Amino acid sequence: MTTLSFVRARKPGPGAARNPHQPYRKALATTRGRIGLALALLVTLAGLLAPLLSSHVPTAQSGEALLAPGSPGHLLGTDDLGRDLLSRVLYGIRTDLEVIALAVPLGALLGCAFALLAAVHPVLDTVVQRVFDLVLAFPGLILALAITAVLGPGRLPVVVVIALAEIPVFGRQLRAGILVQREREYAVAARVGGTGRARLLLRHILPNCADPLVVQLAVSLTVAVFLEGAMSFLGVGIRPPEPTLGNMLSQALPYLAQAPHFAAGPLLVVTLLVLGFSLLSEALNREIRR
Amino acid sequence: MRGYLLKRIPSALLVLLLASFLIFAILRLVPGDAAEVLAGPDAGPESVAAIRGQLGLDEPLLAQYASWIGDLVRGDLGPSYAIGGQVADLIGDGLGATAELTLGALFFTVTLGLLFGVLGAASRRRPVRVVVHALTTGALAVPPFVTGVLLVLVFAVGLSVLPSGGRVGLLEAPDLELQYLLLPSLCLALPSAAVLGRYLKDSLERAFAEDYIRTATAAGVPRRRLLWRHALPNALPPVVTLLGMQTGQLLGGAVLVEAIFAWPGLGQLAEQALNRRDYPVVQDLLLLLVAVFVLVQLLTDVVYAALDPRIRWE
Amino acid sequence: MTSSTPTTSPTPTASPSQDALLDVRGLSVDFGTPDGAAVHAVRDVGFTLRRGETLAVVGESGSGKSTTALALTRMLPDTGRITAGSVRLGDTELTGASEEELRAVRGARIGMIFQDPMTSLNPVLSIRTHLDEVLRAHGHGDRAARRARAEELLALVGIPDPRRRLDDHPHQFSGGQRQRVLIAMALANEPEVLVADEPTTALDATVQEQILGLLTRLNEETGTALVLITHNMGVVARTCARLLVMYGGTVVEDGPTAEVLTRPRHPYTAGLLAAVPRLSSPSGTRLAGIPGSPPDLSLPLTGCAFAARCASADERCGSEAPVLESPLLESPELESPLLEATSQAGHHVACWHPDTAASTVTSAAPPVRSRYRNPAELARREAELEVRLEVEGEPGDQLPADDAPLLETSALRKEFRGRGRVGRRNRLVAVDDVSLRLHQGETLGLVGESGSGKSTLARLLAHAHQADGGTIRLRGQDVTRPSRTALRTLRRQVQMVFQDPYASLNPRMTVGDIVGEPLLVHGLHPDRAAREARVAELLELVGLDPAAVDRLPRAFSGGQRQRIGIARALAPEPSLLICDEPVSALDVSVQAQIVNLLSDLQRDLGLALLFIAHDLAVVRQVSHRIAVMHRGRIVESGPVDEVCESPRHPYTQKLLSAVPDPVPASALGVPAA
Repeated sequence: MTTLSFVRARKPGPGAARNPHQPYRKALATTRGRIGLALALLVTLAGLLAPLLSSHVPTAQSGEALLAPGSPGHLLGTDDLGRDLLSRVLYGIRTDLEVIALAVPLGALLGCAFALLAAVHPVLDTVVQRVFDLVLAFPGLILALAITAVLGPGRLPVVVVIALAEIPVFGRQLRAGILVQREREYAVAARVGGTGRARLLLRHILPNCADPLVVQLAVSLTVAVFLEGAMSFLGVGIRPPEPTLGNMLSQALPYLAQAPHFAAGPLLVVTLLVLGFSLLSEALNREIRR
Repeated sequence: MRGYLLKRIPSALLVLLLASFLIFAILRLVPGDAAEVLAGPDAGPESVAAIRGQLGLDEPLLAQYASWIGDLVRGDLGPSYAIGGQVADLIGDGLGATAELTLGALFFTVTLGLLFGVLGAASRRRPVRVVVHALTTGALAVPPFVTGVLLVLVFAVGLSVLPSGGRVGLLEAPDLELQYLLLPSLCLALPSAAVLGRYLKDSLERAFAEDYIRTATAAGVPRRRLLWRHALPNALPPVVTLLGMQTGQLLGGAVLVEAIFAWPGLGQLAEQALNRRDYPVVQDLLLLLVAVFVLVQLLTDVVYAALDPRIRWE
Repeated sequence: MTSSTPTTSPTPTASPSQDALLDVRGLSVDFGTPDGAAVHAVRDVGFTLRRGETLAVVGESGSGKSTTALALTRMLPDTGRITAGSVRLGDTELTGASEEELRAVRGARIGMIFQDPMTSLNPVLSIRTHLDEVLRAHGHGDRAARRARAEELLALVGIPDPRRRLDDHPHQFSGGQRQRVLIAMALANEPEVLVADEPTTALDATVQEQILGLLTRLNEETGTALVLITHNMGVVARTCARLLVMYGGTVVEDGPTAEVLTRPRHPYTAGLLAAVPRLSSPSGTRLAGIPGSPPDLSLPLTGCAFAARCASADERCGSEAPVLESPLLESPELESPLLEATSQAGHHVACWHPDTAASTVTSAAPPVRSRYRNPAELARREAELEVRLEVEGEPGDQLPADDAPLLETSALRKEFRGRGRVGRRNRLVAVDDVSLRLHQGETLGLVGESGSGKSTLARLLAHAHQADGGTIRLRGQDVTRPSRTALRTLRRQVQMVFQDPYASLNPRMTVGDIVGEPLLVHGLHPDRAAREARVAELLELVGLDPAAVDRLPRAFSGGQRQRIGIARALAPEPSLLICDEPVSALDVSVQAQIVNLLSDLQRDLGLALLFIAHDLAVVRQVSHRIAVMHRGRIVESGPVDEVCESPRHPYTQKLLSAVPDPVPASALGVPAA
């Protein structure tokens, strides 16, 4: 009987037996991905190593050198209160990263939890959807103002605002993914095969929804940098003397004409960081959609 | 179409209702109520209690909520506690300025977005596509507060061709107002234009990969016509949805841009009112913004339905 | 290979005759891949088309037939590139033409229609705009003239009430009507050639019949030459006078349809014909699949593309590419007008052993499938077979009718509500009053066209959907609305094989995990080693190498994936296996392997098998009994041979007469169309 002769799997030619994580590795191997990763790592490292790299205490004021341009003593110069700008930028990165690293994953996890909850029952789905609608209906920075009014300025409102803004973003993305994947034949096949609901959702469907979420994560990091910056800029986020990239820019604004170096440092760093994240997200997106 | 609208309106109203609860609740959580603010730091507890009674702040929360909504429905927004004047006047002034700014930004978002999207997807010259891509990446990578600062630096400080901030009012001096409006609206529009352009480009590329484009190509339809007559009408509906979401972003971004360019809009008012805990202003303002956003979403859906015959005919 | 130049490449006709309309020589197309490698999709293809001629290009997926069609007017996707060869339309060379010259040819001199009418029309444009765009692209008259012509075209392709329907949008037309609109677009400017790429593949058999009839009629009436790309031998026999068979990007055989279908000279053509299930073959007939899978097109081709799967291949076949030539001629040098005339009316084959082909088929196929020359002989053979079946008996036939059925449904009903539109509630009754019985060890074939509700019925029986009414009984127990625990045991007994071998396997799980999943969730082999052993056993059972457990589904071909799906379904040792269109996504040669595997498993494991398909011929061969489904209802059921030979319900009759048989009309003594 010819049909029962062994049929061997095709030889694993180039790309034939790709494991599911390969798109990520491939994305990081593209020029775009490499530059993005390098930029993000560079800025992150600078922030992490701030205590080693900086020569001054970031909040220490010196009376004699106000708004001084770059010099051997102060590589990036000093600000209006005579504080060393390099140290402030480095610590500013650190503060930004700490806030973002807490807020974005928090928002992502909560959003995904909501989406999973929505998948359990149609009634829950309606409730969760209205919750997403509600959060989305508040323009982001207005929400930030209101929340700061309740919580007072500092890190907490920044984390809350960023996380809150990310909840519907991730939630809707995952919910849409689950709705599509749930109707795919492999999911029906697993159900018919006896796989239970929870296992079906977590073991079968969730992994197949992961790719767009990873891209979204990279996008959200850039959004978070923006939000932190904007909040500090408006004075409702983290306030001086603690340095953040946003409040440094805000402070530098009045001195743009007389001391452009004041704004240059934080401006460059914010741009590089965001550029790095967005290049990464783009590289991932291209590879995943292929 | 009518059935479709009938279905969308209740859910929009529901979001509005929930938002009003939420706004009311948030503002009751703020430490220190309006009576304390009004009475001043030196006032004794009796005078605070008296003011509280005057304002009705000692009534049950539900009653306060009901009277707020009741007054709103009657069109009576009442006086402002702290800033002074009628809330309706304050909001009215700010609304004009913010609407001007947002509409200006919407104009740039749509024109630049279309330009970026169409050129990025359909230009046959590679350099054009590369430049468009670089521009959108740049516009997305630089935060709006940085763009704003840069624009001021270049056009106001460096070249001195445009004012660095402020507003004169469209009715008073239209030509001057346009100059004042240009930088803030461009600053506000750039990220949204980049997002829209990217999305339109993707959408167009997807449309170009569809079978019906192959059909039209096989029929000998010229390339230009393929783009405008065949691909674009299919690529637009999802872009319209995105534009609706971006309008919400513009409203939020306006707060920031207004701060950078000293634009006397709702954002400035909100900031001021929140700092001075002027409840009536904040409440009404937040609800207004949410209402505008919900309305924009509704409009978006209507436009979407009008663009897609499969929905139109149902 | 692409190394040969157009001038030395062989073409079917030695010299392009005076009336050659389209002359393709040495055409080769490469596709770039993201990895930088090239896929040689079309290699050295040549043919000529005369005015008004009908030519079929036949091949399975990956044979290069569609790429050839697209390459004619350079409509290849961005990654595709013509690397060699020429395409001459009259006096115009198309491979080197400018974009503007090509545009003037597309839609004006060469019209094209494609496989999927559902996606080939622009959803936001009205039908009038569609037709108007084609006419206007080639400067046809003013607005009013185009309007009149559009109406005329719709009438020509048989759309009723054309004036009113012009302003409708594509979604208001059925699949068959949309294909008619596409044909109207292709013919709008009265082209010399109509290229139809799988025009009926996405359509039901009865609609296919109408569209093929329309194409034939238009060919006769307008004199437009027709190039029909298809994988369906029945469609070829029905429509085209000449036939070109492609395999692995090359032309392997070419000649008059009647000649090639009755006396195939290439082993691939012969194998393909043997693998096609025929409606005239009675229940229990085994199909002859071609072992192996199609060649990897990214590798350079040395020798014959089919050599790896060919039974009569020798060393020369693997090293030296055979030339397409007349099978009677010993060498191409001897070719002369005189010899050409005496050879079998332009029959050419690219094979070193053209004479072994016929015998290969005969030995591979069971006796009943040998070529029959006339209806009388056919009938006689069938009668013989029936007698044999009655005497020997098949497992299903032995079962007494009053034996308790394994599965029994009565008045089963399922409706879907239109998506919550306020006002008009439109309900679709997908399954309506369905009662059927299935015994242990029996195969019930369920036939129906798309939208007949057969897939919904399958999912009801597999408890993927809940029925709205009626009862399902399994071994006499009511399992219509099972409790959670009852559902668990039920899921062990009823398993399902799905249509799409690409969508039905989780791309993130290894083969071992996929097949082992039912064992794990049912706690059948709690011990890991035992489970792994069982998975290996299952893989062997379906003819897969057990070493494949660590692979992901994407490493497998369509047929292999379907085997994985079957292994998964067999894992919990079900007593009922529901196969929902298990072979309709597969190529003919692979389809035969899977059909045979399923019938073997059914017999060896004593399964009750519900075999759902739209292809009556396949269903007839695997089933004992058959049920015909139409608009949610079962309109006729009974022993399969009986229903197929003397159908009672008009719908069954219509369905049966619409199945194209791969026997050319001329071979049965009737003049070709």
